[in-house]
Amino acid sequence: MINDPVEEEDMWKSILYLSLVFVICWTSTGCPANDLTGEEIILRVNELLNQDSAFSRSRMTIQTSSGQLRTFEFLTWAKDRGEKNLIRYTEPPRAQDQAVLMLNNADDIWMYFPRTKRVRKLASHAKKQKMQGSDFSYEDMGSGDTFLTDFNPLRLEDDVFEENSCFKVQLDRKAGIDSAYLKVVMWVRKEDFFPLLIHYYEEDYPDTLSKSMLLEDIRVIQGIPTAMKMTMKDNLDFTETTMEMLEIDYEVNIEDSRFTERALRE
Amino acid sequence: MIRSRVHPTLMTCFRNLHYLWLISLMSFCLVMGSSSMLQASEIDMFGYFRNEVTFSDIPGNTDMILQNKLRLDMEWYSWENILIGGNLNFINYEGDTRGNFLDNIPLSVSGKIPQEFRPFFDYAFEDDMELDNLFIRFRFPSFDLTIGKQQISFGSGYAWNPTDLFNVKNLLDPTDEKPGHEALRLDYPLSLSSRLLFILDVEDSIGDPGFILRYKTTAGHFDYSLSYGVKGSTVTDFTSFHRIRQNRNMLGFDFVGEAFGVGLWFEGAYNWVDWSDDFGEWLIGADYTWENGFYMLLEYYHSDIGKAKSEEYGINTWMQYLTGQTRAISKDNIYLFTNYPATDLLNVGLTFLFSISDGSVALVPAMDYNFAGNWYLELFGGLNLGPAGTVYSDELGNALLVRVTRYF
Repeated sequence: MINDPVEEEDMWKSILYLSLVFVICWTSTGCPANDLTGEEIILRVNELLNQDSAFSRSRMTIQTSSGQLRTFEFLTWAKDRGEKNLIRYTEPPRAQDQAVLMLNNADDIWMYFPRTKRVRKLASHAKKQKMQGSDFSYEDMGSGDTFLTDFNPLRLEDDVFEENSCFKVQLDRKAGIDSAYLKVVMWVRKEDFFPLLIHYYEEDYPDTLSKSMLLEDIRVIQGIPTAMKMTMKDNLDFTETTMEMLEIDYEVNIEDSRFTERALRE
Repeated sequence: MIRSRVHPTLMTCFRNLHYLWLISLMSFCLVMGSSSMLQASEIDMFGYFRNEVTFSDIPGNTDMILQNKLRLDMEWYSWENILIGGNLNFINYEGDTRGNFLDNIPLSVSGKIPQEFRPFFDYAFEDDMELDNLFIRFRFPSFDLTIGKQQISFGSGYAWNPTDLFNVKNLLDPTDEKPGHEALRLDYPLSLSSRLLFILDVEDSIGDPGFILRYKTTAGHFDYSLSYGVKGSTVTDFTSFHRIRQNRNMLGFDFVGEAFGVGLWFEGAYNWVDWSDDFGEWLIGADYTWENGFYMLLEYYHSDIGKAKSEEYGINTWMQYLTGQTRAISKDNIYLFTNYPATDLLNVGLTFLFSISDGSVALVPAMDYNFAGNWYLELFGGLNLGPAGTVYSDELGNALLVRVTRYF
């Protein structure tokens, strides 16, 4: 029983303070984490990975099964939460100036071949092709919100990955969707909804882990958690590709004209 | 008999290796110089050095030809929005650099040519240093203007492009570079998804230029293009060696997109010609990539000026095809291309060339291996399996091309 008005005032202040903290926590995570569905978690992941606009410079290093290394560098422009993507290679010489334009979450793909100065529209099945022979496919690079549109998310029992408390979500490919992956399992850090590990399962080997992607060196760039290093391992071919972020800017203003055939031929 | 032909060829190659060293030395200097000296003036220099050897085994005759090529590309943004670009090719040939077209034509046709006319069909590969492309491109806010010698390439087809008045593709490698054309090119975007292309080509004659106007738009998952062009071309009658210059008016339409996950395209053109019969040509194609990366492309091509059966093939049919004046010998043709990434660095493929009109087929096995850094090894085979007298007659023999390329 509190009778002292001062004590009562302190108590209300404490309640108010705790409420404020609760509201802040609520708004920052959306709603209590334990109540989140798989779809809500993937929605948050998607919002984090696909920003309004982004420009980046990346280095991709392929390590073959025999230990040989191949390095590529490329620039990427993305807009409208990954719905529009343009990738242009700058290294090595053979790939220099090759460019790929992906619109509508990579449902529409155009490729520019500098050797013949030709732009060719590719069907969306081309996104299953390896990106310059790496373990990343174009689907991995420009998929936009396909985790939401092409898969049914199912929340599994929470897990701990490298001392991080994680949501574990399984994404099952929807019927009639032409994706290379039958199933995807994702470990999402509860702290900020950033995915730390992604497992990919293909149709031909539904029970075998085909590929796994590890996201590391997560830094906050312009307020946005960003993996500065991503490693994709192909467990069937025993190869590995590392993608390093050399430069990224989320506050860049990218014109729509950047995502046209004219820009491809630049 | 075969050995006595090959050994002198090899000796010639070794005697003339100084050409190879010269080109190699130039390549080295240019590559080394490009990174330090030229970087300062913002000139981007790149290209490749390539050694290529082709063995051809025509029954009773085995030839080997070696090609060394240095391609040196330059791009210079002299001012913002103004690009000066171009490339030089240095090409050196060794080996059996002289031949006769008649050896590449079935006996049922070549046998009708009198012996005294054979020299008219001789050809030779000669060393060359050519300015392949040299252009300046102005990038204005609403359009791009490119003036000079430049590659021109468009159309939805992979192996053939009926709407392309300027180039004929090589079926062994349709993605190969095309020679530059002296032209003016205007790219005018009408919206984010449609554009107008105008090309004025003066490659053949400044007084008699060719042109093409092409409108392209995107709707749904398809790109559609409508083209109209006029071009003068020279047609040779190889029975009299008379050459006729005639105008060709072309109206073309093409689209490319996908349906049910499969890539689909069509490209067709109708041609009104001054001195010959008007004709149409069109193709339809499809492609697909499987989950394991296996890729398949199928194209069917029809040409009204192609011949319906092998009995109709004549010296003009063959020679006009071999000299790039026509795209095909047969009326109906199939091109089937497959490719599989065997490892991260090795692609293997097999192409089937099929003449529906005469029932002959050729196989082109291919391999592309990135064996070190910027070094690539490519192998192309050519196996003619058709009956005598056909487009892919086994009497035309087989070939193997080995190519090593160093990009810089």
